[in-house]
Amino acid sequence: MLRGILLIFALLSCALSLAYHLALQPDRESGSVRTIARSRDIHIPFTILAALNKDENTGKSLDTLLVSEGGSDELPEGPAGFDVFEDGSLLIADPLRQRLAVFDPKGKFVRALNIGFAADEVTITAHDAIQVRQANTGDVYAVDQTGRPSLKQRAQELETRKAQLLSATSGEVEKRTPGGVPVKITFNKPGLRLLSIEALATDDEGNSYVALEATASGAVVDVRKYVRKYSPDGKLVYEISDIPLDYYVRPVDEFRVRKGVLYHMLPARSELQINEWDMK
Amino acid sequence: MSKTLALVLVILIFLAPMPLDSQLDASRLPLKTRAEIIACAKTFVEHKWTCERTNLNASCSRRYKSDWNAGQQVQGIPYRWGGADSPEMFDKKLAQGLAAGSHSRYGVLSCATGIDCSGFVSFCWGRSRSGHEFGTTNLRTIGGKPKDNWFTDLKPGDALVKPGSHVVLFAGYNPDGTINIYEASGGAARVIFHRTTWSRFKGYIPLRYKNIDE
Repeated sequence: MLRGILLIFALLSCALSLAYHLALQPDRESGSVRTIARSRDIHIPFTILAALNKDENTGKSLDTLLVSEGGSDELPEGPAGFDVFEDGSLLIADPLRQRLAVFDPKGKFVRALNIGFAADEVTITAHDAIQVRQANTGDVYAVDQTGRPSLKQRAQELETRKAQLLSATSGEVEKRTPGGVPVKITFNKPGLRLLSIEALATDDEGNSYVALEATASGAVVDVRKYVRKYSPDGKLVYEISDIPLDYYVRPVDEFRVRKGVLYHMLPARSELQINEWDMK
Repeated sequence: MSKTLALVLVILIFLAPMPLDSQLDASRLPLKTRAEIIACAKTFVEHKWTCERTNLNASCSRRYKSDWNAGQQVQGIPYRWGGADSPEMFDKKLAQGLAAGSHSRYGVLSCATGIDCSGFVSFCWGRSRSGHEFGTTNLRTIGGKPKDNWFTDLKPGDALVKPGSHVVLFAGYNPDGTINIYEASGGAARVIFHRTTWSRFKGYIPLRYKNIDE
């Protein structure tokens, strides 16, 4: 009799332990991951181009970025794309002035590249070469150090690394190099459902940076955004969960990862914020 | 007597808009299939035109600055705040020398041609009359809220709207969970089709055309 009770007790303990282990598997993943707080933010003031105002394209305001207020049924327009140079300086598309503006790592205006058209996406490639997308055609141009653009390719969807949403709690990002492993995404946060997965970048060491969107559902679109760093062998290393999404101007391209630092562009009501998280 | 008259006047003033609203109900709108809505959106995105020198200036605005260059070949009907021109009407007005597109900072320009976000969605949903009778604030008149989840059950031809701000046509989900949309975009200066993420639609609500032929 006693042996029977002990056996049942032992079996129950094993079952409970297994259930506990399985149930907490995702939590253990997120429990072991280091959540990173924002390390720095840069503020670049806007000049507001109000309806029927005089030309704002003069004087000291050239040190700022130009934003239109928009109107009823029209979104505000302004900087929607950015990138970061090797030295940490910022390159920001200033479409209403048809230029690119360069700011130092502290957000101080350095110089402008007058490209002569509105750009909504900028990319800095190897050796600080600049590539921009023309907002009203989608054509991509290479821009030299004087700001002179030359057509590189006609409008087309820029190639992105393939990711796949597998369920409300999981997904996968394809391997980047032959021999590399796909990044398996597991997303288990109480009350939240995984909405989308975007592969942002892979650094020289093979670490992958992935943006995730999640929702608690509801009648109105409500989204939270996370950025994660995965090691080359697919292990979750860091997670960022305090990404603000109160966009005044809707960005086309809101993230950049450079030298292990995540940069996030937030065009707010009166200024452009560049938020930084050190994920090294 | 004068009090009664005043009361009647007040009641009439409050009731005056009601017949207009009743004209906007879905029963007066055409039945549309989802394929028809998407085909309509594509005609706006794929429409090719050339900006002539005469289309760079707006005769009714001194401050107007064009988004285009003379001789530029463009794909996509231009964005014009307050505009509701079909591709055919756009071609006609372009040939007449009207300005190609404009933004709210110049006011609603009668001397420009193009379409804005709500004009575009309501046109493809089957706007029954000419003009711009539907904005983002009264699009609910012809679009109901779907009962399903916005993150899994939207169908091509549904819309995402933020009243007073912007509206887009939903085209489909991507395997990575991002979405494809059609929109008359001020930033892109024209009607475009593109992939985007959900965070850009925080605060938006889904709408489904009331007279959809499923």
